[in-house]
Amino acid sequence: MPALSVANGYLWKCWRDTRSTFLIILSAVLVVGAFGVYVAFDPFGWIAAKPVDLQVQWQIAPQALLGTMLLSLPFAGMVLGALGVGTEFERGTADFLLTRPRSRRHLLWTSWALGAAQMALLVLVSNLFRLAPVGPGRFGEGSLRNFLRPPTVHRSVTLSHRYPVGSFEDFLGPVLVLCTMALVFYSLTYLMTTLARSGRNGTGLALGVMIAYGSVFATLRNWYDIRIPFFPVDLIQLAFPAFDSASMAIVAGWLAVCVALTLVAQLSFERAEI
Amino acid sequence: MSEHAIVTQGLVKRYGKLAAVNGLEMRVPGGAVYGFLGRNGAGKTTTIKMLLGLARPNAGSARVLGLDIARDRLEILRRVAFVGEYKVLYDQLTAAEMVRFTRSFYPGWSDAAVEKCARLLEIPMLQEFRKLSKGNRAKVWMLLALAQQAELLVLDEPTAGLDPFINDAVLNLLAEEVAGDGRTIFFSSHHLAEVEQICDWVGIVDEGRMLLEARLEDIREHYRLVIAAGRDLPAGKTAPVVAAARNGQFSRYVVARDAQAFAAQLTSQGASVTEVAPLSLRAVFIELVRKEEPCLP
Repeated sequence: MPALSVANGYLWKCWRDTRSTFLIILSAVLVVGAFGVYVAFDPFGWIAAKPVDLQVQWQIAPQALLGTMLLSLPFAGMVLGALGVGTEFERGTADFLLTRPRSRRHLLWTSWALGAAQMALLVLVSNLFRLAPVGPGRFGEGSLRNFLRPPTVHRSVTLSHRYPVGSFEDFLGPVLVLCTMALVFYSLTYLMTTLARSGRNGTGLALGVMIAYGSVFATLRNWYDIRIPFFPVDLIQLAFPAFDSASMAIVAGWLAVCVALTLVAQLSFERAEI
Repeated sequence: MSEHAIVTQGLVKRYGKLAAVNGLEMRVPGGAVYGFLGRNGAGKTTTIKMLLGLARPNAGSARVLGLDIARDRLEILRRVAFVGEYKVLYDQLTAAEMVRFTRSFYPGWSDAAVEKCARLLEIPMLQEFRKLSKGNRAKVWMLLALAQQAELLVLDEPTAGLDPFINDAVLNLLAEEVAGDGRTIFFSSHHLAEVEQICDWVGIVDEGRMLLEARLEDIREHYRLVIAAGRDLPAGKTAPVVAAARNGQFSRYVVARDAQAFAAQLTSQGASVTEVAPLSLRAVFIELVRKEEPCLP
């Protein structure tokens, strides 16, 4: 019981640290999602009453909004990652926190786990909008997923006909992939924030790492035809068209990378002096 | 409790080429109120950081409540309360929320102590930390430390920023709640008056070394300043001399005991002893950390 109450106290503190940021992002997701659903339903017939060329534009709007929202969620991972335990140094609260009778490993992983859970919840809520049912007529019977096509997926890939609505591949597959992608962004930023002892510098470093790694990836692929793992490409290609056991292995691989990044953060945090 | 609450042996902490703590030898008796004195940059805060696991020593060892600082960090932290130098806490939390957060770490937490401290120190418990004055921030730290009911309180300039009224209230609270209970207080401060008010032991450090460790009562009763003029006077700090310096033709000695006998010895060596005076803690401190021409032959 004492261990539980300690965990609760610290978890509560971590929640207070991230609460406002998380709620702002969640609100944005809900507003954008609700707007997408509203446009798809058109309950008051306002869009149907518009001229045909405007109706086409309104048809594109939900796709643009919801698709962009889903794919920009990983960047929310960066925002949450920049609120990690490394910011205790920046705020000057590290000497208070680190003189509490709790291992630094516990402090770091508890904070990381809360952020990861928030990230997963954001992805899950965003994807629920894909399930919003749409009646016959405008987009074809089914759900919003019928017309959600991330802009980075090749146009020839159709999203709507491969899997039945409600199947694992249709819903949980993309959720898992987006969660993984968000977690990679989150864990990388979390690590950099811990190393830099600052949320702002950590975010800058994480962006720098991603840009540098992306450049290496593009150079090797385009000039030497060598492919190295690069999570946005690996994962986005899995997200919508197909999700099978091979996809699962790639997701597991990137989740292992998340854990490895956090382990490095742990080692750094455990050795940190004030 | 072990005989000594804190023991350090040859403790060293270097930052690059600078030795912040340089072979510190310290013994804090259990149950004492120990004033840890030194000038800015003397190594007080670095020593405290090492004792609490916030910094790793480069050499030497230390035991807190009989526990090794290198191996038993968490057990030490369970039994020690700490008030930090900068008094920074979470901006968005109120003092009441800080209590909620902090109590979860300590099974022996005392809500009665929280109420008493909040009342005596007039702490606005529902105001966010960022809106608190410097003095109120220090008070919140003190409240959190006292409510832990720890065996040892390590306080790094706990009264910095407090007005005289609250300063007295804090010192009285410490004396009643902690020292009265037989618990140990390790107290770093620049304010010699408040150290004299509540401490029974003092340790004076300079450049990372312990210059003097003594009972305050002994300093008051036995320590004397002996000033003598003459040539070829003794130069070393052999007992009973704890500090010696030369200023022009005068040599100044801080003598820990038998000052009259020491003065007689100087006279027998042809010196003219001009003064044998009792010393306040302040005077001892200044004599010890004074940067003057050493008393060389």
